Amino acid sequence: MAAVEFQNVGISFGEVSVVRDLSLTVADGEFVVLVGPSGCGKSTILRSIAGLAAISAGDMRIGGTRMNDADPATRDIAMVFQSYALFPHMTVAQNLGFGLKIRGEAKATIAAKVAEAAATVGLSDHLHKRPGALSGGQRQRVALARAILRRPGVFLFDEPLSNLDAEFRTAMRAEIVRFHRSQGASMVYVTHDQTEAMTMGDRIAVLAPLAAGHKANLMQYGTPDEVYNRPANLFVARFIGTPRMNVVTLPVEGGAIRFGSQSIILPPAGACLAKVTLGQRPEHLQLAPERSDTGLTGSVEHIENLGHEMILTLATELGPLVLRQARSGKVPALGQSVRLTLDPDQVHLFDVSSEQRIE
Amino acid sequence: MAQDIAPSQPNLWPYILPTVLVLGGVTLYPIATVLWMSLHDWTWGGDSIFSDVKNYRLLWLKGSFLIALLNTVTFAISAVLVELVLGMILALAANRVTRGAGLFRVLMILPLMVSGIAVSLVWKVLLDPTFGVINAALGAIGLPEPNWLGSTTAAMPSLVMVETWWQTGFVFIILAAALKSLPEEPFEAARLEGANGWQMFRYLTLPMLRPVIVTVVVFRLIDTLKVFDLVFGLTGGGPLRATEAVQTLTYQTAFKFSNFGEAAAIVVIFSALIFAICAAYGALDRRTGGAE
Amino acid sequence: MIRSRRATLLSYAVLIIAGFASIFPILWIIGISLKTQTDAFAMPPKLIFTPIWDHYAKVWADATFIKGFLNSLFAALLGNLMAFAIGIPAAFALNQRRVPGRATILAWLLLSYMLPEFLFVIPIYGVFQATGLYDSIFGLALVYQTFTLPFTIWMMRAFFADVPFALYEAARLEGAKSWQILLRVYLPMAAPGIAATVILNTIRIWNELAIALGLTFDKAQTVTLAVAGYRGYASIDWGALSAAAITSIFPMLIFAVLAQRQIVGGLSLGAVK
Repeated sequence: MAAVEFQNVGISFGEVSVVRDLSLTVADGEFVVLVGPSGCGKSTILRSIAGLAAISAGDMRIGGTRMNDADPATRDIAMVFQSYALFPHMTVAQNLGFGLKIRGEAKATIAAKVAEAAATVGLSDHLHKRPGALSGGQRQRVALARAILRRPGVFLFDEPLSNLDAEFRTAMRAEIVRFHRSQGASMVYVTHDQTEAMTMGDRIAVLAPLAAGHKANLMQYGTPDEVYNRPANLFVARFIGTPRMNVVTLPVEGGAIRFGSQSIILPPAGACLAKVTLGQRPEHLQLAPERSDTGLTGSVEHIENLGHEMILTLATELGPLVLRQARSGKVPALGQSVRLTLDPDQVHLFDVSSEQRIE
Repeated sequence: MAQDIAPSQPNLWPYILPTVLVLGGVTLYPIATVLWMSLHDWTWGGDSIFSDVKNYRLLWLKGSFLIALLNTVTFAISAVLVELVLGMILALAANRVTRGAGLFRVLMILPLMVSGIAVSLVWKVLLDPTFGVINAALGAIGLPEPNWLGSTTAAMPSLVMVETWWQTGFVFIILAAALKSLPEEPFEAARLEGANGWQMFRYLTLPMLRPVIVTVVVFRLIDTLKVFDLVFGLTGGGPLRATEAVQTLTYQTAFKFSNFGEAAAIVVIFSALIFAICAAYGALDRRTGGAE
Repeated sequence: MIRSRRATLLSYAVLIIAGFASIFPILWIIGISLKTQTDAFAMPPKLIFTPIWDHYAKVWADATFIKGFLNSLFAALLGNLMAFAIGIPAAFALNQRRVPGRATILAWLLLSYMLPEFLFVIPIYGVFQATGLYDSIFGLALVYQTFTLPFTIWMMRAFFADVPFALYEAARLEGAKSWQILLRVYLPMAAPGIAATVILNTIRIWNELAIALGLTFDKAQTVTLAVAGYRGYASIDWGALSAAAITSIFPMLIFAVLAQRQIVGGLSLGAVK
C-alpha cells in the first residue's frame, strides 16, 4: 500500500508542455479519479506514475520514495490499460504469468499465483483461452487479474471502461468500487466521463488543458460532493453536471443583482464588484407559479422529455437557460411564456475576470 | 507508428549497429571503391594509375554506353507502360468477378516465381523462328512469322513482351490489393449522381489509386532499368547491339574484357540516374504525405 | 443491370485469356521436357504424347546442376539467417522515434535495395579475390544482404508497427527488458510476417543471377548459373534445357501455390507501405 505524491510536477513532450505545476496527493488506500476533457493531461499524469511518461520538473513520490526516474517495474504499481493490452498470442494463464516468468519464478509458483488471481475475478474456467476468444468484459477481468497478481501498492486505471457497452459499464463500475474496498490499495483512475468520476472516486481531480490558456492543470481536487456543490471555478462548474450549469454575467447594483424582477443580495465579497458571474444548476432553477410576477420571463424553446423528468430550454433576455424539473404537475407547452426564479441558496458566484469562486 | 518510450528508454544502438556495419561493408565501402576505380586505369593486383576522367570520356567517345543507355530507357519505359495498363485492366476485371478470382491470382503470380534466366530459356524455345510453337501457330493461320529475337527491329519489342509476361502479375497484385481497399461509399454516391463506369474510374478510382500507382511505377521503372537476366539469357545484347542494356554492358566490360575502370565509370553514371529517381520519388512521397 | 452483366462477362473473358497466357508458356515447356526430340520438333505440335523422363534423368545426373541446386538452397538459407539475425533488432529499434539517424538509415536501406547490382559486385569482386570469399556461398549470402537486409527490415518494421504500443508498455510494467519484449511479444506476434518475408527472400535469392555470375566461378555456382549453362544447347537439346528450367522453377512454383496468401500480402506490403 502506498501514497502517491506530486510536488510541482511538470511534464512536456519536446517543446509542448502538457502538465504544469501539479501538486496533488493520493492518500494511502484512497480512490482518486482524474477527470477532464481531452488534452487535459490526465492520461499523461497516470502514465508518469507508471513510468511511461517522463517527468520534466518537480518530484513524484510513491510510498514516500522519489520515483521520477525509477524503472517502471520497480514502482510498486500495476496498470489496467484502456485497450487492456493483453498479449494476443498467449493464453489467459500465460498473460497473467508473463511478469513472473520474466522474473524467473518457478513454474509451480507461477501456476499457483495465476490460479489465485484468476479465481479472484472469476476467470478460473478460461485460463487456457486466448484473449481473442473472450468477451470484452472477460478481457477486462484478465487485465484486472494481471494487476491483482502483482499485489501493487497503487492500481492505475486508464479509461478501462470506455471499450465496454453502456449496460455493462454500469456493472463494471460497481465491480471496480467493490474491488477497491476489498484490496485496500490506492487507486488512480482516469476517465473523461464525469458520471464515472462522481460515482467511483473518494476524491476527484478536475483537470483542464494547458492549451486552453490555464496556468496549471489542476482546477479542483475534492470529494464528489465538494466538486459538485462548491465548484472552485467556472471550469469545474461547467465541466461537472449534466446538463451544464447555467451561467450569466450580471451587473451588481447596491450589493445585489437582479434576475428579472427577482433580487438577490450578494455576500460581502461579491457586493463590492461591478459585475459578477452567476451560476445555477438546471435542477435549481424553478418555474414560478402561474400569474406570479417574480423572476425572469422566458418562452419555452425546446422540451426534452426523459419520462421521469423534463429538461426545458428557455429563451430569455439573458440568453438561453436550461431548467430541469421532475415530471409532476403541469407540463408547459412549446412557445408558452413562463416565469423563472432562482433558488437563492443554490447560487454560485464567480469573479468575472479570474473565474474563481466567490464565497 | 513511431513511439516514445519514457523515461528510461533503452539504448537502441546495439540493435542497429549490426545493420549499419553489414550494410556499410556491402554498400558504402564498394561505392567509395567504385568511385575511385572509375578514376583510374585499373588492373587487379597491378598498379593502378590515376587517369582523371579518362574512363568517363571514353564512354562518351565509344558510344556503346549511350546506345546501351538509350536501349535500356526505351525498354524500361515501354515495359512499365504496358505492365501498368495491363495490370490495371486485369485488376479492374478481377475486382468485378466473384468466382475464380483466387485461381486467377495464383496464375498471375506464377511467372513472378520464375527466375529471369528460366524465363529466357522458356521464351527462347517458344519464339524459335523454325521450331517454336508461336511461329507455328502464326503460320497455320497465315500470318507472317517474325524472327522474334534475331532481327534488329523485332528484338527489342520481343524483349518487352517477355518482360511483360514475367512481371505484369506484380503490378496486378498491387493494384488489385489497392482497389480492394478503396472505400465503397464514394462509388455509391457517384452512382446516385448518375456517373457511368468510365467517369467513376476517371474521377474516383484513378485519383484514389494515384499514390499506389506512383510507387508501383517507380519500383517497376528501377527494376526494368536494371534489366540484366533477360538480355543475358535471350539475346546477349544482340543482334548488333539492338538490345544491349547498361547492366549487360557493364558485365561485359568488367568480366569479359577485364576493363574494370571503364565498367566502374558506367556503374557510377548509371547509379547516379537510379539515385536521382529514388530521390525524386522520396521528395514526391514526402510532399504528398506518404510515410517515410 | 444489362450493361453491368456484359461488363462482368467481359471481365471473365479478359481474366481467362490473361490466365491462360500466364500459364501457357510454363505448361508448354513442361510438355517439351517430357517429349522425345522428334515429338518436340513435330509440326503441327503434338498435344497428345507418351511422356518420357529421360531429360529429367539426364539433368539430375548432371553434377553441375545438382551442385547449383544445393548451393542455391544453402545461399537462401544463409541469406535468410543473416538478414533476420541482423535485421530483426534493427526493425524493432527503427520503429522507435528517438533513434539518432533514423531517417538516414531508412533512406540508405531503400537505396541499397534499388541501386544496380554491379555497383556492388565490381568492387567487391576484388575484395573477395583477396580475402578468399570469392566463389563461396558465404560471400554470396553476404552480398545478397544488399537487397535481403533492406527488404527484411522493411517488412518486419511494418509487421512490428501493427503490434499495439500498449503491449510494449504492459510488458515494461511487468519488468521485461526491451530484448525480452522483442523476443516474447513482438516476434511471436509477427510470425506470419516472418513467414511471408522468408518466402519472398528465398524466391529472390533463388532466382538471382547477376551477383552470382560476378562473384562465383565453380564451387559456389548457383542454380540460375547451372540453368544458364544449358543455354548453349538451345538449338540442339530442348528436352534437357526444358527439364533443367522446370526443375529449377519447381520449388518456387510449389511456394506460389502453397503460400499464395503470404506472397500476395508480402508483395503488396512491400510496395504499398
